[in-house]
Parts: sequence; C-alpha cells; structure tokens
Amino acid sequence: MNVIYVLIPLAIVIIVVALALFFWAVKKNQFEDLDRQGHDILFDDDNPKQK
Amino acid sequence: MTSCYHCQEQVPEQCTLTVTVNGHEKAVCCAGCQAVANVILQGGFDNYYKFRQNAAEKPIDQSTLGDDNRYLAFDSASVQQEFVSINQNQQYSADISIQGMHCAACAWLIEKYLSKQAGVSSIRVNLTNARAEVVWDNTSIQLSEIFNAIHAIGYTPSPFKISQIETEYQQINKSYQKQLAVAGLFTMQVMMLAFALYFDVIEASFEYFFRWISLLLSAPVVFYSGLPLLTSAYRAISKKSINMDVPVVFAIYSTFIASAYATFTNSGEVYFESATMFVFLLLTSRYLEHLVKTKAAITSANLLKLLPLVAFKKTSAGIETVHANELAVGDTIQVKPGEQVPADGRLLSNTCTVEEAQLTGESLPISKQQGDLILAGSLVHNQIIVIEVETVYLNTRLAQIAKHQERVNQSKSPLANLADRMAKQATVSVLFLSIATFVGWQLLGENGLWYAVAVLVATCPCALSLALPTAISAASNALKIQGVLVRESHALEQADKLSAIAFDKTGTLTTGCFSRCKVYVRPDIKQNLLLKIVAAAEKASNHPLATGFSDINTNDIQLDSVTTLAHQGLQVKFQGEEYLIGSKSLFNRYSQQAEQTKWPNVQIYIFNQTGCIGAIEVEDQLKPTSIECMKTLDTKNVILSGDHSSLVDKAAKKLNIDFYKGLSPEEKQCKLQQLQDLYGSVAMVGDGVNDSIVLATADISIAMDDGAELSKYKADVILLNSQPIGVVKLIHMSQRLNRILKQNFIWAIGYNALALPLAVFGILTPWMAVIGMSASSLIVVSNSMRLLKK
Repeated sequence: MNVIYVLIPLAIVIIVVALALFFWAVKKNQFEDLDRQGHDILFDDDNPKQK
Repeated sequence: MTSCYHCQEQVPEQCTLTVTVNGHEKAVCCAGCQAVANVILQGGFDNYYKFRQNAAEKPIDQSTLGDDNRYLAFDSASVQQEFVSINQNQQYSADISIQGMHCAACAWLIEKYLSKQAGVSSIRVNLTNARAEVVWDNTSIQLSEIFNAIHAIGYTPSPFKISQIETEYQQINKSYQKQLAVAGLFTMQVMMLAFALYFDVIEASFEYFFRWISLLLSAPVVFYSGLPLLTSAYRAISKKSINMDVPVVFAIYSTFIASAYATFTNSGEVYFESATMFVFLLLTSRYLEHLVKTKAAITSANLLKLLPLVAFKKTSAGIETVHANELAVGDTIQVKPGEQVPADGRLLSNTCTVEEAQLTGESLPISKQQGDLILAGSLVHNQIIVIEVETVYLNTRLAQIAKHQERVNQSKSPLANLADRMAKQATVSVLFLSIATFVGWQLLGENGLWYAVAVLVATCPCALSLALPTAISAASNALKIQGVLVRESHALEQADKLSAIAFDKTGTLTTGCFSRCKVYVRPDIKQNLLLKIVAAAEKASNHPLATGFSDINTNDIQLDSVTTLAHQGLQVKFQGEEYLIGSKSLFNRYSQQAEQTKWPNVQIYIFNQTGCIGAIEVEDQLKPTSIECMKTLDTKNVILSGDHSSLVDKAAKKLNIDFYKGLSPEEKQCKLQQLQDLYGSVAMVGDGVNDSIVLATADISIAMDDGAELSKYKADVILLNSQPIGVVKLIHMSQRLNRILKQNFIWAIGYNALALPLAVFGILTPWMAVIGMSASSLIVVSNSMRLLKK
C-alpha cells in the first residue's frame, strides 16, 4: 500500500497541471462564446486556394 | 410554391427573380434577398447556405431606402469619438452590434467576408453576444464602408459602447470560472480522501497522511475559491451591517481552522470535505446568479444602440457632418427626408411635413410652415429642409423627456428591501443560536464547535438563496424564446398581480399602417377608377395614409402630374382632368359644404371641378394579436393615446376597451397615476418617446422592440416581436413562476426548520448537514428548471 505515497501526490500534480491549462484558457477568452467554436470545423477550407 | 433560397419565405407568384448556385437557378423572393445572396455566392461563401441552421432574415430592399449612404455619418471624427478607439499604430477599433445573426454560419460569413475587405486588419465575431470587434486602417477603408459591407450580406450593424458595468461583469465572470474550477477539482480529491477516512477502508497508519493531504488540498478552496464569500462578508461587517455570507463564512473558516488544528495536534475530528463542498456549492449558486445578471446586461446593451444624432451643418464651405451636441444656437442645418431632426429649431424652408408620432403619439404627419418650430426627434417627410437651430442637445424637448423619465425612475422604491431586512434578522438569530449551541454543549463537557458548525450549515439559506435566481432565470429564458425579454426581474415576479394595463395606440396596438374601411362615391362616378387615381397619387406622395392603398395595382394608371398643396392635400391631373385629394380644409375652395357633414369620420375627400365626388374612411390597422390579447387579458385595459383623431375611438371600439386620447406625455403620466389609485398595480405598454415618462411611472413598463430607444431605455420588459400578445405570455409565465417560487420557498424554509433542532441537539453532524443542504439545493434547482418546459 505504500505506493499511495506516490500516487496521491501524482494525482495532485495532474490536477494542478489541468488547472493551469484551464486558467490559461479562461485568460484567452475561450469561454466567452460557447455557441460558436464547435461549428468552426465545418467551415475549414477543404481545398485551400493558393495565395 | 417554392421557398426563397435566401430567407426561406414563400416566393410570391408573380416573382421571377433567381440566383445561380453551382450552375442551378434558385428562386428568391425579392430583390433584397437576390442582392444579398449574390454577394454571398460571388464571394465564394456558399458554405454559409450549406451549414446554416436557421434561415436568414429578409433584408430590407436597398432600392426602397433610396439613400445608400446612410452610414456615411459614422465617418465623421466627432461622431466616432463616442465609440471608436485608436491605438498607437493608428489602427482604429470599434465594437459593433450586429442584428440578424442566428447561428455559427452567420458569424463565419461575417468574419470571412469582412476580412477580405482591404484595410480591415482583424474582426472577431461573438455569436453569443451578437457583436463584432473590428480593427481597421482608416487610411484604406472607412467605417461606413465596413458597415455597408455588413449590410450587403444581409445584417444590420450599429455602433455601441460596452458599458462599464458589463466589462466589470465579464471580469467577475472570469474569476468565478477559475474559482469554481479550483473548488470543484480539489473538493473531489478531498471527498475521495474523506470517504476513505469515514469508512475505515484504509489502514490506520495512513490516516495521518490523509489528513495532511486533505489540509493541503482544501487550503486553496477555502482561501482562493472562498474569496468572494469572504469579501462580501467583510464588506458587510466593516459597514457594521450583516448579510447572508457572515454565518456562511463563520461556518467555513471555523470548520477549516478547527480541522487544521486537529491535524496539527493529531487529535479530534476533521471536516475538510464539509468546508470545501460548502464553498463549491455556494460558489455554484453565486455563479448561476451572476450569469443571469451578465446575460441581461449584454442583451440590454445590444438593444440600446448608440445612435449618435448626426447633424448636417451648413457652412460657407458646404455641408459638414457633425455630432448633434456640437451644434450651436443659430447654426443652419439641413435634414433629408426620412431622417431625424437633431435639434429644436425654426423652419427656414417654405413648407414641410414632419412626423411627430414618436414625440406626441399623433399618427398623421403635421404640416409646418416657414418660421414654425420643428422639434428634435421628429421625422422629416417628403423634402430636404433647412432649419435654424434654436435649442441644442440637452435642452431639446426630446432630451427633457429623457431627463424627466430619469427622475421618475429614481423615485421608485424597490420591494426587495423588505426581503433584505428579513434575511438580516434571520442571520442575526442564526449567529446567536449557534453561539448558544456552542456554549450549551461546552457546558455539558463536550466539544461544542462541531455542533455549532452543524447549526450554521443546516440553517444556511443556500437553497433559499437559489430559489429565486434559478426560477427567474429559467422563466426569463423560456420567455425570451417566446419573444419577451425580461430586463428587470421584479416585472416577472409581479406581473400576475396586475389589475390594470394601459396601452399606447400607435405602434403598440396598431401597426402604424392604415387600411380603408369605407369608400363613399357620388353615384355618377366609377369607384374603381377613382380609387386607382387616389392610390397612384398617394403612392407618389409618400404619405403614411398611402399604406391604405398599397393593395391597389396602379400600374395601368398614368398620372400627368402630382403637386402637394401645403396643409391640404394633393392636386392631381389625370387624362386632362384635375382632381384634389385631401383633408376637410379643401372644402374652403368650394361653395357647397353639404357633403362635409354627410359622411362622418372620413379622413380623405376627393374633388373635381364639379365639387366633392367621394370620400374615404381609413382606420388604423390593428396588430394581428391585439384583439386576441384583449380577449385573453382579464385585467382592466385602457388606451392612453397622444393621437387626437377619431382613429383612437375606432381602435378602442374594435378592441372593446376604454380610451383616453390627445394626451401629452405628462397627461399620460397623470392618467396612469389615477389608474394606480383606482385599481392598484398598473402596467404600461408603449413604444414612443412620448410614452417614456408614463413607462417610468408604471409599476411594470413594457416596451416594443421596434419602438423608440428612449422608451426601451428603462423598460422592465421588451417585446421582441413587438406583438401585444407578449403581455399575455408575460402574465402566464409570472403565474407559473409564482407557483414554483412558493413551492421552492416552502421546501427550503421547511428543510431549514427541520434541520435546525436536529443540529442543535447534535443528531445532525456537519457532513450530514452539508449533504442535506446540497440535496435540498438540488431539489430547488430542478423544480425551477420545470419553468423551461412549455
């Protein structure tokens, strides 16, 4: 059972990383418009034109 | 019948317009749709049609507007000052609200189309808020061109300024999101460890380790996520007052500190999970409440477009575009047909007709002669006029009405104060009770802290505080789908207690268009031909009464000439014969006056050389739902109209309700106060500037979305489709809301009352109290969500 001394701190580290990512996303305004981004994939140019 | 490729409305039978999509011809219903669809297709944006979820709105046909440069005024620097900011690279940026956006395809289309315009450096469209943020280079593109581009693909742009309060709300929103994430994720961990401790699934040797980990994990929840609660409680205490957060904060921090002490000394019990879960649940309810507020702030900001009153000043150099507040007394300004007059002034042109419907409620345009006073806010009718400015900006009649409205509004006493006071008293007694519990158990020789905490948690008005905001947000969301936007929640709570409703006529109950109800013709005249002549003449004159003749096909009638007779009507030549069409005053030109009394309630008379040959009675066209609305409402309904004409009588008779006509804005307010004395709670439904004062006086004010900005400014409720039936929907929803609220309150108070003695006598431990409280909150929330269903 001593593995718990490793696993629990590891879980905490993962959570801290997840939270850091979430904070970054909030800072980049990713939660301002939840209706729209999901559809963006539909509008990707299927055959991008040459510039 | 086929439906239009662009707006999916039915294509009229005689319409043969088409657009070419991938080599196929598709039918469209009007020139407006055709123009917009062509712009979209030629730009290579046919993906829009592939992926959109809603049909587009029918665009207004450009050709009928005549003026293709109506956005030109936004290019002037003095106008832009209000909403455009310039950064150090000389890049201009502005927020624009966009009407007519329905789905992600719209947002995509606007972004793609605009970013292809030379000079636009970036554009970000926010679908949720119906807004776009544009950054552009003023040397290569003008703002008016950007506006025209948005207009060309079928949307209506308007500039506006993000209010201070909204920026603040967004900021708070973001910190809530972060705090919630921290609270949620860490609470889960603490709970996991706590369960292991509760049920002894781990060996005793791990207990010490688990306690320290729990302490470590709950510290950020209590000290970071709990901050909003802490600051709110601190603010109350520092003002020597008390609010709901004070006992909550006591419960959270005493639990945490006592548990931390137990961890350090390795003695007693720990309740970290209770503290963190409490923070998480409370924060969730605060966030929900805040979301409702933010949403309302955004929608109302979008509705209240910033429409800078633009003036065209005549100077020696020509005509200059300036902001209306830069005008000075004595300036000469020019106003084109269809535009609003920006300042009060004397008419310098010979004659003109202006529409004052928004200011006075008068449904028909009024003729003015040289030297007459023209009020700011009136619409100019049929010609370009020149005005010498007499009063500017803040002193105009329009601004005074706005000021008056502001004053009335401040004197409104909010009912919420009472609830606040009661909550305060309850809070004080809860604090005393928990202290008493602590002392009592201490005297009995036990650790009283956990009993006191249980009391604080059990009496936490969490479910109670969720009861109102969740129900209101569910109800207002359901109403918004039905076309009723609630801006002040008190309107929703109290609409079922209304005993009388006052309606404005023009624009509220009626469409502002007219229809013929009776045609009288001298026996020797052909009615059809006469009607055609009148219709053709009215169409040429652009008079509102012309809408009463729009159903007559005048293509086969060729009038030789149409001239306007000031104050009287029109002079028409048809096949060599002269006709006069107009008001009663035309009788002065003729000797016989007999017909004048023969036909009552007639607005239009027709003459030829032989005298009066016919007359036409018109009436206001009621909005399609007006009659149904009056039938369904069991309140006392009254029309308060500023219109003097007999049109009010007719509309009231048709709707079978009482009416008062010819009222000035102040008289309307008096009448409404009389109604309030007679019946109690009175709502006002209106749309014009002249209604804005009476709207502010009413217990519940309801405005029409296509009405004047000023009337919407302080309205509690806005009817988005401008149909009076929305009032019925509001009242029905209010009845349902009050039923749900009653259930919520009974449940929440009942739970608290039941849990309190259990906590005092130590039967309820803190963790049980927390679980009970969350279950109670969940029940309240799901009960509120029932309002979302139809």
